[in-house]
Amino acid sequence: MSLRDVQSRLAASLAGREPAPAGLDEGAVERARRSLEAKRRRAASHLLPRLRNAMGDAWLARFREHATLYNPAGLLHHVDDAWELAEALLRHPDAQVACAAHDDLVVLRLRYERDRRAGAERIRERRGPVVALMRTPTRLLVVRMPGPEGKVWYLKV
Amino acid sequence: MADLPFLGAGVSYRDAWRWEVIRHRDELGAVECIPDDVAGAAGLRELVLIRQAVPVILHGIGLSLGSAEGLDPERVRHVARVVEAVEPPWFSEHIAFTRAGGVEIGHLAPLPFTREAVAAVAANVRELQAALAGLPILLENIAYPFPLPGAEMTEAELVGAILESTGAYLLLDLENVHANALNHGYDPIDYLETLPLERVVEVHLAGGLWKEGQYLDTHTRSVPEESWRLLEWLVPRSDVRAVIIERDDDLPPFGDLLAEVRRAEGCLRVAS
Repeated sequence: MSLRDVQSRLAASLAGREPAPAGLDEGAVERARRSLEAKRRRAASHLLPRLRNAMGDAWLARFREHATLYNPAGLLHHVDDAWELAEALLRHPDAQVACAAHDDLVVLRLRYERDRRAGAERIRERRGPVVALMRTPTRLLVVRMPGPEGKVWYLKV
Repeated sequence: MADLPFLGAGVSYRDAWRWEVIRHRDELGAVECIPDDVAGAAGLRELVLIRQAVPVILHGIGLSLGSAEGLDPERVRHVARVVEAVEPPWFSEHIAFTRAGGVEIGHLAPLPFTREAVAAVAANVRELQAALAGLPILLENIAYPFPLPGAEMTEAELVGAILESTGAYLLLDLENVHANALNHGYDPIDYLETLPLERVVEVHLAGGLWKEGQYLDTHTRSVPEESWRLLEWLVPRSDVRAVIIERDDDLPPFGDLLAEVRRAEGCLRVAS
């Protein structure tokens, strides 16, 4: 098997999409896969604290489902990963979860811009303005001014 | 190698330590920053600001130098932009791959110890060397949870062959050596003795933890005594220019890190 094939198969198995390539210690690959998933989950928890709290025990299983299906990309792939999950949960039937996803996305959008079509620079620092409404726990109008270091204002409404 | 500056001991840079780094700049030989984390002009300006206080070295984590698919030109351009702004004395990356077949693994995956892997890394490093206009490149040994089948050489021979074919220097991660020795059952000193120690420029130290019967290089604990002993063994046998204490999570008070920096600096002084 060529190096390219070995790497593709190993990457797919570490993402939970294929069994371990032949000749590898299946237990060790599975431990590595779980460890990588936990690393992704920890990074997402940091970026989506409201969503993590709102989902409670369901967070683990929902993140596992997301991790198996979605390939984060780019230099800041942990931000891309969290962004994708939060967007997917905007239409969650539990209004609290949907609100938390919305507010965490607002916070991400204050700092970053995302272009799903782009490659390495899919996530970039935001330079442009943002006006958004945060829904929990009290309604806040968030205004980010334009420029690379745009000032952010939180206004109670 | 004679042209590379002696920096001494320092820490990996985290945003949370911005002001601590500036406040304690006289106690730090260098800080190591990750160009992959720089997402735009503001991030770049921050690195330039830090560089005014402390020498900055750049350490990549996502170029995937071991990829048989070759390098992502966008990522190479990104690193080149950061290098141009920061002007570090060298740039380092890992002997590993991080993406393949459209999957971003999110971590460093091991290469098989084969001639094909040596050739893949060498081709990618040469491309990187051209993009970075001859800036010295250091390559780092990784902690691997499992070896890949089909080995034609040992890990140390793989590292040596890559360094020889690229002219790159070695960033020796002693915590990775410690972790591999524990997980794969060998003597770390025996391993170190088979590496080209004359090419070591920088050392990484960190702390990990045991999980499910494996020792993981998590960068979440203080440096274990075993790794300190490896540093004490290494320093008189090589010409180390920098030691970086890495910490990614469970960040301790900065004073705890400074104590580790002072201990590393002490090891370097004993040798000189």
